[in-house]
Amino acid sequence: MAFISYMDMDDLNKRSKIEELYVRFHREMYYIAMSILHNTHDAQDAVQTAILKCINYIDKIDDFNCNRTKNLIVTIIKSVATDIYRRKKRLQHEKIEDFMEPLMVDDQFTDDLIFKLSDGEYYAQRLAGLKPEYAEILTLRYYNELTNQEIAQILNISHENVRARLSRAKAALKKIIMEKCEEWNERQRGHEE
Amino acid sequence: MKNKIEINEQERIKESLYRYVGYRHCENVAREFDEISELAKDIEYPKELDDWFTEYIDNAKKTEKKVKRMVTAKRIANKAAMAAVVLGIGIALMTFSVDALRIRVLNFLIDTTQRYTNIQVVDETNEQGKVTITWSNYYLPEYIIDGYSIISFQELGESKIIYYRNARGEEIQFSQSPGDNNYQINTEDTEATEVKINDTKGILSEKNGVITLLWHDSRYTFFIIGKADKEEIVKMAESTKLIKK
Repeated sequence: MAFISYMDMDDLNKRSKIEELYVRFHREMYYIAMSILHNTHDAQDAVQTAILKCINYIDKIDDFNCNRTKNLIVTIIKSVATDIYRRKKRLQHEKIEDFMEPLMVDDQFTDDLIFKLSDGEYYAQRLAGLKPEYAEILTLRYYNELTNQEIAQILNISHENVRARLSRAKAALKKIIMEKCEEWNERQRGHEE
Repeated sequence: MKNKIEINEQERIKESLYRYVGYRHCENVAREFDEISELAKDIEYPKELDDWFTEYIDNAKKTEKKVKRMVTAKRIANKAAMAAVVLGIGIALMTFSVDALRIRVLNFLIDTTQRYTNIQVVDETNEQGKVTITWSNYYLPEYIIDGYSIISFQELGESKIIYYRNARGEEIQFSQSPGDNNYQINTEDTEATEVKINDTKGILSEKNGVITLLWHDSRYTFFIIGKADKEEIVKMAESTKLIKK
């Protein structure tokens, strides 16, 4: 059973928002949890834990219908459900590769890199396709504007791992953009010839 | 070599890029989420979860009420504490006035003692057993209450006290001190009345059968204290005369 704390819900506005969040998202959260865990009891645990986790970030939610909120809810429930799944399967929580030499990753852009806004969706999809965690962490950090500490709590990973994953996500994005750039340059050259 | 401003600018542009990719990722997630919403409509949602959440919110409300009650109680406690302080000060002030007589009398006795370090307890008994006061200038009541006689006299600095006693061992003190001391009479649980002592105002009070009479003339302050009739005490006071030798 999830740990229950009322300490952080000492505010009427906060409680109202949590009630609204539950009413609005409880089915989707349960559905996502079930799709990961395939077990009713585990999915219930996941929803309870995720709801309690949401209390910490309820101040950051202004609009329950915006994409940012949906992303936060999906990330939280997925993270909690994945944790339960790992615990059940006795899997290592943090992969070794996440700790591997994060500083060696080159996420610096060069001046000749061309980024087309119209390709934004493509980049996001490619990044998520390459590794969902990369798109997830980049979004939490730069779109949901969470701190590394908050991200560490949501994803239940260490602070160092947040930094390493962020760095790798940036490097992966750079690689995707460079590939797209090459493709675009080749097309340009083809037109010139 | 890029300067610091250029590096900062590039960092900002990169952050904008990450933010834009995040924004696009959110759109993708939201699209999937909306699909999930459609699918989740038909899912069998466990009643236990609803019950858990209802209970959770109820408990949170109770906690809120408890916190509010505690805040209110604290506010009331603060007010009560304030009232207690005010009451305490009031009682202290009252006690001050109640004890004023004793304190002031003690004060003048102690003060005069400290000033002159001159304490004399005199027991001048003559052959007939009568006490003869040896002071040169002093006030003495000519009227002595029936059954009482002078047993001793005492000088504390400038203050002079004469002690009377009857056969039952009951004592009366007559005190005289130079100066216009503004004495206060203990009025707590007492009957304090104003009396005239030879055209000057005096205060007479009674507590537990003990009569205290305080009065003064232009030069001296007097008090008589003892267990006796009020009228007798007043009569004794009115008979006070200056004795010069």
